[in-house]
Amino acid sequence: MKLLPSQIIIVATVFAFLLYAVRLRTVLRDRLMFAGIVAIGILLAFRPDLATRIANLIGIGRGADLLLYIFLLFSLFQSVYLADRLKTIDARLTSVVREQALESAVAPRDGDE
Amino acid sequence: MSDQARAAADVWVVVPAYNEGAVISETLTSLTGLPYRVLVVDDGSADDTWERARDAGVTVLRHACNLGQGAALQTGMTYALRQRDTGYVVSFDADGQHNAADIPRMLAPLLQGDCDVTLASRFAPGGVANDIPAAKKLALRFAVLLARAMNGLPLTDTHNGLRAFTAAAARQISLSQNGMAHASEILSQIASRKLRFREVPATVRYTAYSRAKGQSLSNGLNIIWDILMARIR
Repeated sequence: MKLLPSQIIIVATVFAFLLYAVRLRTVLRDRLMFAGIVAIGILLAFRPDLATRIANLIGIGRGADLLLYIFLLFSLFQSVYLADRLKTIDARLTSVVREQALESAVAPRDGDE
Repeated sequence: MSDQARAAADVWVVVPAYNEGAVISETLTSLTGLPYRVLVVDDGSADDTWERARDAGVTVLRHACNLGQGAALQTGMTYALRQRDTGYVVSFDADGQHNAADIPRMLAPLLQGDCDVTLASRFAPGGVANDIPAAKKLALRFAVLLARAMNGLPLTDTHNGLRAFTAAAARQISLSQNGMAHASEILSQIASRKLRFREVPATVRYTAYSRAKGQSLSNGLNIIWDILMARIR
């Protein structure tokens, strides 16, 4: 089976992204990633021919398909980002609820024990 | 006071409870007869769990919202460890599946200084699992194999809510898994902190109530997912 350049690039990108998601993330890198994806989106909006040319170059064929792949990557990025935010908020909620529970412990009433 | 009795007074039994109003009074009655301090952590129940626990004459804490059994257990352990003279912490399920008479056997190896943690096992020689549903048994066997593969701990029962810790060992346990994956988290922390542990045969009673409330097989898959995600991070 002969692989198209696009197939290698897409699979490699997904793995690179997973590595990024679990090991390499920082707030600044997240923002640069976000800005980069937005910039690509704007560029392709103004130069639709560019998407087709890049797509042809790497063997995807249609520019619309290239956009689809970029969109998928962006969605993947967003879901990881949101999952991480939720995890942080969850941890904060846990510590707030826990402290409040510890503060308001009710001891057995006198004579009950 | 004998050594045994003095040590017993230093024991906190932590009972995490979520919507257990139907059975918690009975569970607590079996515990308050023993010379231990009992603590219920009501994990934001919608029913009368909190009132019934308070009426049972035990210490009661309440989560303002439901966080999960792991979170409730951690809150209870934190509370117990902040109290004066706490020597031992026992975890005990609220749903009536454990036998309070097993607690002294759980504590004995700790009192003798033989180990830091004891874990109840319904499958160890001498353990009892009355009327255990077949699917449940299969899921638990699988969990045992999984724990062996991941932590290398030679256990026969990895998801038993009855455990006993010395205060020093309990201080080394820090649960971030709020849900049911905390059982595996405890084991992996026992392994990584190199705590000395022992399994103690104990009884688990399956009633219609605990069957309906207990962990389903599909929830087991959710637990595995939680564990794997925690590993990646």
